[in-house]
Formats: sequence, C-alpha cells, structure tokens
Amino acid sequence: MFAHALAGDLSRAGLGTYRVVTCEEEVRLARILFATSLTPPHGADLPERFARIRNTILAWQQQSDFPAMAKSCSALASARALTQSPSQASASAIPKWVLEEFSNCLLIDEELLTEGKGLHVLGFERLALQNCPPLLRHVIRDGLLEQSRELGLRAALRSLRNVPPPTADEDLPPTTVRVYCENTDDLYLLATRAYGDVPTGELGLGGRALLISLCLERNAKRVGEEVELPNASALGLRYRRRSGELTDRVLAQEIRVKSVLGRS
Amino acid sequence: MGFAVELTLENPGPEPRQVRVPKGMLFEVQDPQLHVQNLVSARDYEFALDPYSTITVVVDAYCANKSLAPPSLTPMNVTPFVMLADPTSQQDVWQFFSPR
Repeated sequence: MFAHALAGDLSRAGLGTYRVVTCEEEVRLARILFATSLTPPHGADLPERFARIRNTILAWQQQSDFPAMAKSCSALASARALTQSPSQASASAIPKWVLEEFSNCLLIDEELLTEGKGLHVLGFERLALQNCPPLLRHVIRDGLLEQSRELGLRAALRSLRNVPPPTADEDLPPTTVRVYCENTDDLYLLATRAYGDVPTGELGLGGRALLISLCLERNAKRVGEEVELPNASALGLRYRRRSGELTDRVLAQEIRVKSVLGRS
Repeated sequence: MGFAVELTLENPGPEPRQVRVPKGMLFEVQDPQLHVQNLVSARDYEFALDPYSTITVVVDAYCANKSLAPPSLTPMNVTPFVMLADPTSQQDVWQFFSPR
C-alpha cells in the first residue's frame, strides 16, 4: 500500500492521501515524503525546502473504511529551523507563497520531525506533537464545501479595511464579516487575517494586536458557531494621524517610542 | 483612576518637540494571547521633549477589556486608534466596547 501511495504522491508533488495504521508507519511515511519536497516557484529563494505531509486517518478503530468517516490532518515541515529561537517562531518567517500553498497545515521543524520525536498518531482524530511546537494550526479543509467557504472568506476579508489610505479624508465605513469558526485557534487565525492591514508594532506603533484582542473578547462565547469579524470602525475605533500627536510624530520618525508599560 | 501607561519617549533630533497624547487613544498589549487588558488614555496630554532627550511620563488610563486580566508592567504598543466616543468613566469605556 505504501509503495503505491508514494508513487501517487510523487506524481502529484507531495499531495497524496494516506491511510495511517500505526505510529511506526506514520513516522516512516514522514521520512519518505521528505524526498518529495516542493520546489519554490520562480523568483522564490531556491535554498528553501518545504515538504507537505498529508495524512488521512480513517476510523479504523471503528472498523470503518467509508471515506466520509475519514478525518484529515496535514503537516508542513520546514528546513528553516523555525523554532530554533523564539524570534524566529513566527509565521512571518515563512515566505508568503508557502503560507498560501500550505494554508491548512501544521507547521513544524523538519529537523525535529526527522529525529522521530515529532509526529505521532495517538488514535482516531488525535495527533501528538512532542518537542515540536507547531506555528500554524489548522484542520485541513479540502472538500468542495470547505474550498468554497475559503474562497468566500478570502473575498469577504478583502472588503474588510481597517486603515484608510493616506489621502482619505473620511473614516472607513463600519464593516463586519460573519463566518463559521470551529475553535479559539481558528478564531485567532481568522482575526489575524482580518486585521492584516494594521501595523504590528514596528517603531513602537501597533494596532493589530488591539483589534485581535477586541475581536477575541467579542466572540468569546460564539466559538463553535458563526463569529463576527468587525473592522476597526465597527469596533468603534478611528484611525487618526493628526499633526503633533504621538502617532504622527512616530510615523514621521521625529519621536521614538522607547518603551510602553501598562499597569493597574 | 485604576490604570496607567508608563510611556518612555525619545527625541532623536536637534529640534525641540511637542507631543500630544489625545484622550481616547488606545494602547495595545503586544501579545493578544496573553488575555491582558488594553488601555485607553483618560485625558489629553501634551509633553515637551528637548533635543536629544528622553522622558518618561505616566498617562492615566481606562481599561478597554472588562473580561481580561489587568496589566502589571505589561509591554504595550502605542496604536493609531482612538475611541469614537468621549468616555468620562471606566464604566463608559466598558459599555462602549461590550458586544452589542
């Protein structure tokens, strides 16, 4: 079964579907697939190496082979040693094309995985990641329903603007995107995407963490159903850059923010 | 007033600078997954910075997130956002940010 599956995988550049039976085979499969790393597209850094490991864990414990019973997980192993230092442990360390290509993956260090410590199947729908912290955490969504949901979400998020263009005189209109959300990790990732146009703290000027925090608080009781992703205006906030105010001075690099500490 | 922001600013240039922190300006906790309260400036402030000088000022603040933990010398960022309201009490701010 493995030889056949691997051949299919090679022909589709690492996007095969596998039945995992035991822990040993899971690790073995991971090792085999490192040989099928994807090649970056033109213009990307060639030394990069990323391999996708995609497994479908069937409900063997229930002795069922019906595809509808299958649960999928997916992992992306990176040769970048992502978790080597805390400062590197960020999705921003990954090229954009990789995040798009592997949008529904766990993201882990290849080195840790190849040492055999990484990925273990514990049972139906359960995976263990030991000494191998994931940076992105998603369930795989490759059914037609999930694909159309993702396309709809991308279109909706494109309409969600939080920072007006520099020449705009008026505030952005309040906009709220509503989308189904499975869990708090999912909500955090959705919020990160929804507020992607907001500064993240360079020069001491942020905003994105604030919007994410307000969004998480607002939806705390809605996880597992439809959540709201309001833009800054819909959260009751105005993006303001007025001459002489701190934001303007910082953006003009006339003043540097050395530290900001909150206390109660 | 229960909350405050300790703000250290540097003027790296040869000109003196005036800086205003408007009432309603938001300060964010750098890591939203800490589940710590963000803060809102409680009044207008204006500070003068001499050339090549650094000052530390304390800004009275309201908390923006009723359900989160209070900050305790928590690293924060300045944000470009201000509240679309003129709060006069902590209760005003909590009511403003509570889900409608």
